[in-house]
Amino acid sequence: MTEKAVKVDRLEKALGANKVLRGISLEAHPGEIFGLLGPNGAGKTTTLRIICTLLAPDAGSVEVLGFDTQVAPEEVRRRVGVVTAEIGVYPRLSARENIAYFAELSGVLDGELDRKVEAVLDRLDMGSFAKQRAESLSSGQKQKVAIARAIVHDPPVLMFDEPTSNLDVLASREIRDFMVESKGRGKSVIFSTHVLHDAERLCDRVTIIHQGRVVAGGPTAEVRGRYHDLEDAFLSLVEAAT
Amino acid sequence: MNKRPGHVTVTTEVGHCSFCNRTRNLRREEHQLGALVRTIVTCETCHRTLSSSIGVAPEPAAAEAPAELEPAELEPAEVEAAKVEAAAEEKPSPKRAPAKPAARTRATKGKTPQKPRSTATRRTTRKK
Repeated sequence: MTEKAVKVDRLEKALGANKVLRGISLEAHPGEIFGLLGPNGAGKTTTLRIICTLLAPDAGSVEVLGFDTQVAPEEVRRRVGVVTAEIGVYPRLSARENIAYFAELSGVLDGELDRKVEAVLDRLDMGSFAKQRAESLSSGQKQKVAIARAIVHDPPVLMFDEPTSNLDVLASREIRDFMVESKGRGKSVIFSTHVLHDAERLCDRVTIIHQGRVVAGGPTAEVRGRYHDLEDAFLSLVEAAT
Repeated sequence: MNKRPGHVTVTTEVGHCSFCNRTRNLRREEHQLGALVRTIVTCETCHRTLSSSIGVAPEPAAAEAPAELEPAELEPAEVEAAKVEAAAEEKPSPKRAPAKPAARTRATKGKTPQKPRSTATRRTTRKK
């Protein structure tokens, strides 16, 4: 199957006087983990925000499963789940209430709501703290709530923007396992990270961006090329582009 | 300062640790990787990593104040142009100058009242 889950074409975006994206193009396919790599300020988060319709591009286009983000933004939002480093759960709601609230916002109907919330609680093994207020949860548990609310409407495209940056080793591993499991279910997973070791292990394909431009892209092994590991390749490619 | 690849700058700062959920000393390590720098922030109490990111290392010229060229290195025409620019910069801007005395008068009025008054209330009453 050659259908593209996400197609970004010559994307440009300026934030104030700062031109953040200068013609980014990339494609993510169903059933793969796609790594979006780059140093701070490269434009990774801006690209992800444009894909999930939080920002509008100045030029270029983004399609999610055939829906253009500017023509049919609501169709795009139904098909995308986003997890970021800033968890931002409602502290006074319980884990279950947080998930149910976002399920309703995502258009999950009343009849299906409880079943879907239960399913996601089971899938992420959250039963033991589902009734606790979010403010009393650990960072790892809060991140699980964030993931649960992103996947409760069962989107075919999942985006993870530095999902493990505030997590300890065990919680990070659970997130990585979850991404692999999602890939197995045919989801298109877009993974933005600075942990290049994770990217090398998990990603089928990667794109490295720097100063708003694509520096390299393709299957992970190809991008790594003759270098010892992806980190060496990343450093060399970015240095060459600086 | 030494900024060669492999050089590590370590600083400590006080900040919130999301693992301890309280204010802690945080250790910031900046590993120079040539044109890039990897910044790792760890909690000095629980030793867990709060963030690890890669950014572009500031260029030496940009990091320090830009060094001005010596007049000898400039062409005579450039020296003249620089002098004219410098003279223009020395002139006070017409908009800013009147603002200063106005601010001072306000400040002095507020700080040193001319006559001691018994209460602030009376003053307000008089105004009304």
